Amino acid sequence: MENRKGFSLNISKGHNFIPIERKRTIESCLLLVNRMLLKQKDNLCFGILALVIVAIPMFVESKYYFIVLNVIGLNTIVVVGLNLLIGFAGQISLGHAAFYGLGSYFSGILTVNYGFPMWPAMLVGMLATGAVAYLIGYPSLKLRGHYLVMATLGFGIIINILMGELEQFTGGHDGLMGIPPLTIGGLAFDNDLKNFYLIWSFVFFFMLAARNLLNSRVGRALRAIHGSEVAANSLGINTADYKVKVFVLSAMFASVSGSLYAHYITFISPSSYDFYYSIQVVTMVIVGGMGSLWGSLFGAGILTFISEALHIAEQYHIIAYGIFLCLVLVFLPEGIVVGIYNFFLKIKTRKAIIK
Amino acid sequence: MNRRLLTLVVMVITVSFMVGSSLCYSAEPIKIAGIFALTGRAAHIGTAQKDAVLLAIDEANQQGGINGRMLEMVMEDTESNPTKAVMALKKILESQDVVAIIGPTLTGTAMAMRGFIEKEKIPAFMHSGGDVILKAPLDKKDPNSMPKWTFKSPYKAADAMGKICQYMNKHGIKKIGFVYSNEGFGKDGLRNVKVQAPKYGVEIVAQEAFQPKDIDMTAQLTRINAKGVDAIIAWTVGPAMGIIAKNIKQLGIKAPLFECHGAGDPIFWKVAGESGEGVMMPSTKIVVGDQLPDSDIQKKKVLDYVKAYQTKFNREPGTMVAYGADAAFIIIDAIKKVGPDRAKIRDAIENTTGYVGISGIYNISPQDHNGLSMDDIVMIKATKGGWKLLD
Repeated sequence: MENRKGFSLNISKGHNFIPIERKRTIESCLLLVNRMLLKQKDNLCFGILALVIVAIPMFVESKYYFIVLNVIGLNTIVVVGLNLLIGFAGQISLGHAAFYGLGSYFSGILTVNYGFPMWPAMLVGMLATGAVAYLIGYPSLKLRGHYLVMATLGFGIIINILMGELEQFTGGHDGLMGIPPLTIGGLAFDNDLKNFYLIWSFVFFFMLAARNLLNSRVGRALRAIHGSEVAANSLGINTADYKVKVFVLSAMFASVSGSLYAHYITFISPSSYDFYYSIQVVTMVIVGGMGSLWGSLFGAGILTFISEALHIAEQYHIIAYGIFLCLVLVFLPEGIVVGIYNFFLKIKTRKAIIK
Repeated sequence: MNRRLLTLVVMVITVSFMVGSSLCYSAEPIKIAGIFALTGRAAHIGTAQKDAVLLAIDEANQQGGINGRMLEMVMEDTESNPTKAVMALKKILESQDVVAIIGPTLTGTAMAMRGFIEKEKIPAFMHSGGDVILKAPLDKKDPNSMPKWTFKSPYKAADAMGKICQYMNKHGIKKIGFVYSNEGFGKDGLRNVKVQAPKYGVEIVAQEAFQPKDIDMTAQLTRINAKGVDAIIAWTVGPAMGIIAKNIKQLGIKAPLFECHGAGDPIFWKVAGESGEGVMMPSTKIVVGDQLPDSDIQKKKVLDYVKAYQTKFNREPGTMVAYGADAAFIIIDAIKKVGPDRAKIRDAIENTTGYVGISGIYNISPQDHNGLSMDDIVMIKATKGGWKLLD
């Protein structure tokens, strides 16, 4: 026994290059960052995000990196909205591709076919999508259980078919082309850099809005619903009403993101809004961490980035992507941000116990 | 003494290596972008086209490249998704100095990329089936704003339909039923058949749609058969091609079946099995190269290419392979003529006339960025796991 102890001590002496004090500081720093990201009162994080958004164009030149960042931004808006629904109201939607698509098509059709000004078209799209979401959410969220999944699943497929069938409006499967870029005054957002600022301003604004919502009375009610629906009900929270509201809100988030996409890529076709996209955003929520606002940003960022980076594996990238998802779900089932936080927490507790 | 000799030998070898490598490096490869649907729903088409382009580039390199410079293809995957296609395009344009683009495979991805290609001013030879990529103006308000840098190598879908109707006219088929998959490709076929059939005195007496992922079409085929048709045209790609052939055999329908111009591929036999026997379709000459009459000026080129394809990949080429090969050959020819300059390559492609390709004779002009005509298409019949050329 004595011998073994001495042996292990030797090993740790021989291989530990980082002094214990410094190691502890690194760990506590990481813990702090994680705690910052998880807390809802996180002005510092928003400050850093704003700084990063302003600073990125100083370091990045390639249009390719900008388009990747822009797609991350667009996905983040959808995922933040969806996370409100999944993480706080405890309901899953498999129809967010449809809401994303409705935003795109409202913007596209109103501006291209009817010469609408762009910003009001975007607003009309947002309100109309919200109204549609209300119509679906109102009956299905009154029921207990996962009826919303079924309703949105069907709805998503119906909308996708309509995009292809209503040819006189949507351009059918050939798609709708020639959508003008957004303008503010004389400034047209017609390249990747300008769109980067536009899209990420929206990301910043929407994340701030979600944060404020979660810190308000509504947010507390939502978290209570997530904890236990029965308990929330008995405390006088109208759970069905709150769930419908948060569903409508998350549909509106997706719609705005869709409008931005349409004006950025300037071409839309039904294949961008298929069932696969709905699954993709749900996966982003889960990988980032359900109920974590910053997790949404990380989930959208990491998955979009990984699926691009894995292209070096050529046609095998899909398999590599699947393996990555499996690994995350097996080892970090609470999502990346929450999972890593819990991991550090565990280490800390274990150390405290050993002491 | 011995040691000195050794040093000398080492020095000579080192110097020769340096000179050799610097010679190699002085001729940097000319890069061509290949953007295909390598994954997703059109993966089987995209992969075949990728191989076709690789083969064409290999051939050019074996003949010494272009003025001593080798050709190289930089490849990206569109995942059959428009957004990803635009991302792939930007990735290539930013990270590599490419002179031209080959691909993408699907019409949706081609449409999404088209605007950016015109802005970047880089010639692109696309493989998409839909004619809309050449016909639709870039700006809806200005009908004259036609794409300048976009070309397409597959023959027009309207011509393929015309070829079927012409064949029917010749063989006394008057009344037909049309069954199509309810998505872009199938609906495009419906539009075309309505224009082409009356031209050749063929009447559409029944039309039925099915969903692309349906697994049984007996209901649609029974309704069509009840109208007493002379023949049935099925416009779809993928597993549905085989399901329809099987359903027709099961129902005992005697009317001959015609399928679309994408069916002439080994995959057809995989999905249709024995029921595929006797199905007719328009195709490129690549699948029936050995049956062409000796007077056909394409024959030698087609046979040489098929042989090279079989040796390299150890499988039979399908009809879509021809499109990838021709796009690559025409671009390589253009680079040979004018050098690696995007604008000059574009002009050279646009002035390609009488080019004997594998899909047909290309006569590209500013008005027609495709250049194939109906005469380049042949009618073939599926026989015993292979193809038979029809007159």
